[in-house]
Amino acid sequence: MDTVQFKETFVPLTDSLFRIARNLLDSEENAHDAVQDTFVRLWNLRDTLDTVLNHKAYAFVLVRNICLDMLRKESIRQSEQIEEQFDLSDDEPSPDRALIQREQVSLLLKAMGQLPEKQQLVLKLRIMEEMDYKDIAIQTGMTEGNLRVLLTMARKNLKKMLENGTY
Amino acid sequence: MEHTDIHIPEMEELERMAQDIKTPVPAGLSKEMSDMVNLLDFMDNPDEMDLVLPESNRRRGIFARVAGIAASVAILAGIGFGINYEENPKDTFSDPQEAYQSVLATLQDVSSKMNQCVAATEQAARAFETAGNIIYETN
Repeated sequence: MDTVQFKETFVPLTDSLFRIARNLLDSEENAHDAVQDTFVRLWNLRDTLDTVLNHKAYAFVLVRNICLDMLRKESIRQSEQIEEQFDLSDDEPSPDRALIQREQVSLLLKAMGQLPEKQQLVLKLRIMEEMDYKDIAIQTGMTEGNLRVLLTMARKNLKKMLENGTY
Repeated sequence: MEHTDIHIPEMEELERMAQDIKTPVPAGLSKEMSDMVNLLDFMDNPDEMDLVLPESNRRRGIFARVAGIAASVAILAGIGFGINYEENPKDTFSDPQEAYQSVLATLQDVSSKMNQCVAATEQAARAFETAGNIIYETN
């Protein structure tokens, strides 16, 4: 599934996914995280989604399972606090993979703020505003060739910052 | 200890939750998810420039390519100037001195135009170098 198809299929489901998450979880913040996790997981699975017959049902079940995982994790955390208090624990909790993926997205957004000004601007206009190169060129006064170079350098800088932890 | 009595809603209940308009949704959430997908796509998919320019020779590659193109254009223009200059070419001269002066004048004119082309090429190369420096200095 390409990016355009992915967005056309799943972005319109955002509100529905949030409502499901909000009904299952105890806070708007957690529901927001669950929806973000859902999109990250769907994105990671996009190459297999063409075989899915009902994308809406797939996404609904995914967000439900993510919410249930969060509830179980919270339950385990609370149990561990009790166990710690009475020194009853004998197993380390397994890492929350969903949290790791969501944090990577947060780190990416943070790293974007560290880019040089022109790279940030072009990245914002191209990626967030979805402007085409021609319109960005008109707005910024830069040539389309320069814009492509700036985006390439932005990508490389972001990857380097994430690898080095410098953000 | 694991909490085992978490209710697992089936599809019918999920559909009902999804349509519950009494549950408010944060403004801009769809745009936020769309932006995030765009960002994930940007990081996953290399720009065509990554494939075109090898990183180690990128800077020299740009200058070499542009200078080469500019030089080629200048040479072609210089040839054009030489060809177009002789509006009324004479195949033979009865006076050797006249013939010599004509050839000398032609050579001087071609030389002059060639110098202009070389100067134009250098100017173009300097302009491109300046542009390239601007790109790299700002990044």
